[in-house]
Amino acid sequence: MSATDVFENGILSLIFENANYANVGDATGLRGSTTAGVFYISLHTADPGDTTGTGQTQSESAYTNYARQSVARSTAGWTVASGVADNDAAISFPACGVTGSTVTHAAVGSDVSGAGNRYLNGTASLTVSSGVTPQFAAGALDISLD
Amino acid sequence: MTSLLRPGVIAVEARGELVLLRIGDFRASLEFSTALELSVALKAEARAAKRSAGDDSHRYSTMGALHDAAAEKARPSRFAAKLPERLAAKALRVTQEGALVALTINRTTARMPYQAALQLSQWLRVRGKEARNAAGESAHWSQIVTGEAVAVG
Repeated sequence: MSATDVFENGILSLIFENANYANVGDATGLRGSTTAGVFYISLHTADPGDTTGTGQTQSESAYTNYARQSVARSTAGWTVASGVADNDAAISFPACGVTGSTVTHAAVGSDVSGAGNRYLNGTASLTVSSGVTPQFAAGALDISLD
Repeated sequence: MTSLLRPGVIAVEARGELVLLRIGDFRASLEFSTALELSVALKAEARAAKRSAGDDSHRYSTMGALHDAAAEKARPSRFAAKLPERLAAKALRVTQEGALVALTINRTTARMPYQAALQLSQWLRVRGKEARNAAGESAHWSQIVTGEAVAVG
């Protein structure tokens, strides 16, 4: 059984925009979190994979000054359309200091640091060396539900 | 019709305001809006091919385009001599053929499994958005796409 376009957008909107998905079950449907919170975006030097592993620290970049960046779970943080969620504003990581790393993947997770919960990951490549400031421009982090 | 597709020889990259597409030996450049239109057409036909193959699974595909925000932004020329032929949306057609997706460019057709078509669709969307940003366009990609510019079926 395949999912309809409306269902895909509803699920993505619930996850990324914290929007209620009305009429599911009802009174009234799947509710967004009471506290919307944020997602934390991380960079990785290898594919973290689909298994839990060490959560969001799995193969995580450790370039000098690196830190995960937050994106609000709201329509201010993400736009959902046509089965795709993408970031509304640029996501900028700190400028690299002395020690760089080769970033190959990015992930979406729950915590500002530590293992936390890694929800999604995919490819994102950049050679990060001293002075480089990794950034996802608006729309450049793309999550598709197919 | 000729099959252009060879395994592992599809590439998409943003070049300033344009998107470069390579399939085998074939190379072309597209306006970012055309790349986004093609992305939508490929996704629609790939999903039909997926259903035709009896595959009801769903998966999240994540892809990011990282760049160095500190780098000086050179603006590549749209008219550089080395850029390949620029394709108009009317030169493109996407058709589901059973579990395959056929991409016709002018009179040449490349056939690919629906999984590859879904992947190519995401590449085109991500690189199309990159090129959109380079062009200074701020509209969301879904507002740029009409869904009618590239022929389907």
